[in-house]
Amino acid sequence: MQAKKKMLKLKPLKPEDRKAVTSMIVEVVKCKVDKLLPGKLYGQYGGSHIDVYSINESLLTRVKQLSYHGINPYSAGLYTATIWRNQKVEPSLDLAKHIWMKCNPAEYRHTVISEAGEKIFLYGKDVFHGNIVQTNTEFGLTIVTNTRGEPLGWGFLRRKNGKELLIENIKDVGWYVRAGG
Amino acid sequence: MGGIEEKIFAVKPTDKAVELAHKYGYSPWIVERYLRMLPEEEVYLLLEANEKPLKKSIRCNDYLIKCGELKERLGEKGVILRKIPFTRHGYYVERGSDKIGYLHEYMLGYYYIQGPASMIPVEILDPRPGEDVLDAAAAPGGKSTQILQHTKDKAHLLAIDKNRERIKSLRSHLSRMGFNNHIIIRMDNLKLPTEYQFDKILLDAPCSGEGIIRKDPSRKKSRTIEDLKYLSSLQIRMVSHLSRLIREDGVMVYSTCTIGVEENEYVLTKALEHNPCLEPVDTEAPGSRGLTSYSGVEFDPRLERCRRILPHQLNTEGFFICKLRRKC
Repeated sequence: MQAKKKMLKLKPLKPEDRKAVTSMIVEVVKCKVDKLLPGKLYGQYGGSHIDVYSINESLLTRVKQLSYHGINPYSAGLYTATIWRNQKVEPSLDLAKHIWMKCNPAEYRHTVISEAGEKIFLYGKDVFHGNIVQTNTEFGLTIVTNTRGEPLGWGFLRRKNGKELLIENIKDVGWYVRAGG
Repeated sequence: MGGIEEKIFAVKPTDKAVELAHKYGYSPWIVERYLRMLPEEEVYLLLEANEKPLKKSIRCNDYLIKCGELKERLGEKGVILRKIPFTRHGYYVERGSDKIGYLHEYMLGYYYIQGPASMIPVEILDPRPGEDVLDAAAAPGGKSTQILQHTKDKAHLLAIDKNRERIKSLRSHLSRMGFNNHIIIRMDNLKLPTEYQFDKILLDAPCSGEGIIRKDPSRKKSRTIEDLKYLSSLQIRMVSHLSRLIREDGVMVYSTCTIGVEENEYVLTKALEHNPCLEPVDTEAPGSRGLTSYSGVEFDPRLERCRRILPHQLNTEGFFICKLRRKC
């Protein structure tokens, strides 16, 4: 029997999903989420995970128009995050770039890595303390940058065995070459 | 019109065409069309140019980085750039072209790898901030990213493509290059409802790709005249449908990476018949003027306002570009 095709539907984010996404953002950024994001949060529901988009008013008008004709966008606006089935929220590379463009570095958690660390990180690997140049946080989700301050992706900063710092690679811009197409 | 179609698609190669096709490795019917389009000495130039691989080129993304800075940074990595004179943000890669798909600057979205002639349609479209723009055959995203680059991410872009795999690339490139003001739809552009109206439409139509023989020499033989018939019929349907989605006084740019009349002047002659409100507009684009006659067939004379860029003229890929305004 043929499996039923999953129908994705872009809808306003459910309150609990919105809370999960905004909590993730406020963990990293000091500026107000409503001011940071270009528009309302929508989620692509119906699949194995939820892709979350921030959609500005102009695009939203078009999205509603499309929806009226039964056309569901593949994506719309700023791809902000993915909510996985286990409720884990993974920030997008687009969001890292957006924060970098909109905010002062002092306003967001970031960890600077060395040139050697950059190479490692962009291969999708974790970066150890020897290649961590500077950070403005002790622990948790962080934007990872190179020494020029350019966003290389997202990492999770923690101490290995309670001692040395380590950045676990969550997502890095090397993904565009490895898988993005 | 059946007579015109017959004259255009009935290609019987002459001895000269067979001789040149044999020498350069083409299907004879392809060369026969070049001999009908161009003076013989220019056909030689075209065939010779197609023997030389196309120099790699990139489009600097000045939304994220100043082009001078990019040039300097790549220079430090052994990648030497030289400005392409007839484009706004294009650079030839003079040295180090083997690396350009893997550099960190690429991953950071600072450039897009794109042929020089392929950068021209969006420059001719000239999208402005605040405009509603449709990229009707958008994947893999070269022109969509360029539309948003030109408007500093301030045009409202609807990017459509029906290919499931290629649409992933489209989204990836838009993301990599830092653009958010877009909606991506996976669908056939012929099914887009006509209630939707746009200030600007780009139709970089699916085509036989005769203009990119320098990148893919298999195209010297891989297509048949039947393929061209199918493609031109699809292109006519696309232009005719999409022209109904242009706002009054709005613009559509039709482009193909192919150089034959079948997918260009013939398509537009038919489209102009279907939609009398469409008016070809002259542009500053480089290249030769569109043809108004070919093989005993007269095309709409206004099509001389279109441009055909042949590989030997500017050392690029071959392209055809036409700007059309909806006047009523």
